[in-house]
Amino acid sequence: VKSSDRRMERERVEATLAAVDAALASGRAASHDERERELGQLALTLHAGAPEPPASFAAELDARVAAGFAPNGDMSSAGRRPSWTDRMRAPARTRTAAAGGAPGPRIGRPALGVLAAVLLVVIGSGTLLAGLGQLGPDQSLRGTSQDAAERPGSAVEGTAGDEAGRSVAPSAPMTTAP
Amino acid sequence: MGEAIAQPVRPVAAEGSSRDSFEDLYRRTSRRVYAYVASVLRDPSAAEEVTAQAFERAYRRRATFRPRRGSREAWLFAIARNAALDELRRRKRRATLETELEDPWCAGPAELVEDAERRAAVRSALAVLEPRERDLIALEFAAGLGNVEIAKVLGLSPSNTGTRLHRAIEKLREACREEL
Repeated sequence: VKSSDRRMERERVEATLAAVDAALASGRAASHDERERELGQLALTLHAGAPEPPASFAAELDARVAAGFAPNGDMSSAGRRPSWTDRMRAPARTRTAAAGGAPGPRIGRPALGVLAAVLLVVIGSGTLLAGLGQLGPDQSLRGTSQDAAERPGSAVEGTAGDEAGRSVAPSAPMTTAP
Repeated sequence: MGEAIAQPVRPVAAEGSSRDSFEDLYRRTSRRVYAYVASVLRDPSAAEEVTAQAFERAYRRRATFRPRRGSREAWLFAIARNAALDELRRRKRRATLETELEDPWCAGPAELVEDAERRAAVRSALAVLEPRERDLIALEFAAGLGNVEIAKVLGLSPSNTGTRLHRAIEKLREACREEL
């Protein structure tokens, strides 16, 4: 390629780009040169016809940028409160966080075991005491003063010696009659 | 083509200071990034996803920006271009399952009948461009970048970029003349 051809080509390139820049800078294609005017009109048409983002998308992206692209936030779930099913699917430890709240204090498994054992003892004791209260008078380990009066020879706080015929005066009642 | 039309000027490629925040960059470029991506992909729905992806990538990599390698806008549009090319590669793999998409560029309504005709002609003319030519045209007119920035985005010299851009514009102009 001759140097003159290269120079001519360079001039055409510069003329094209200058016509485009002039049209875009002024918003008009008013050159007297037909080619330059056509280039200007083409530039303005291309610029004016550039695709516009939908308002809903723009608002959603604005929010994501403002939030600094929070982790795990794709466009479909950004800013959306997790649904009930989302929270249920999440591991238990993350459910609180998924619901938007701060995670509560974690209770260790050993502590839960001790608590369960204490509850069992309390319930067992209660059941045992209730069962004893329903036993017959002669099976009772603890009678009333009235019981003692009705049953001579029986001990209020019974001992094995009673059966040997040793008379023991009834002591002061330990319980009150209903 | 007829009389001159009054349209908005080329978006000012304000570079801002080096302390420019990411949000400032986003505010300046968000519409143009979407316009560029949608022009390249010809698919508004995919353009939303890719635009969001591009800004998220840029946000996560914002500490890697080096001013001596080019402007922040050139850096951002290079990221957007890579994201769009990734999408085109994915689409190529499943191309047999998709129908031809409608080109969103110059698809909107125009106020004047003459403008509407011109838009239709330009839209048809865009179809004759090779993907690389269309990419150049999109960087120039949808993204609103200057030659130096386009050169940075494409990894070419400004001189080479100007020559390629001139050829693409001339090809488009000739196609428009045939349409009108």
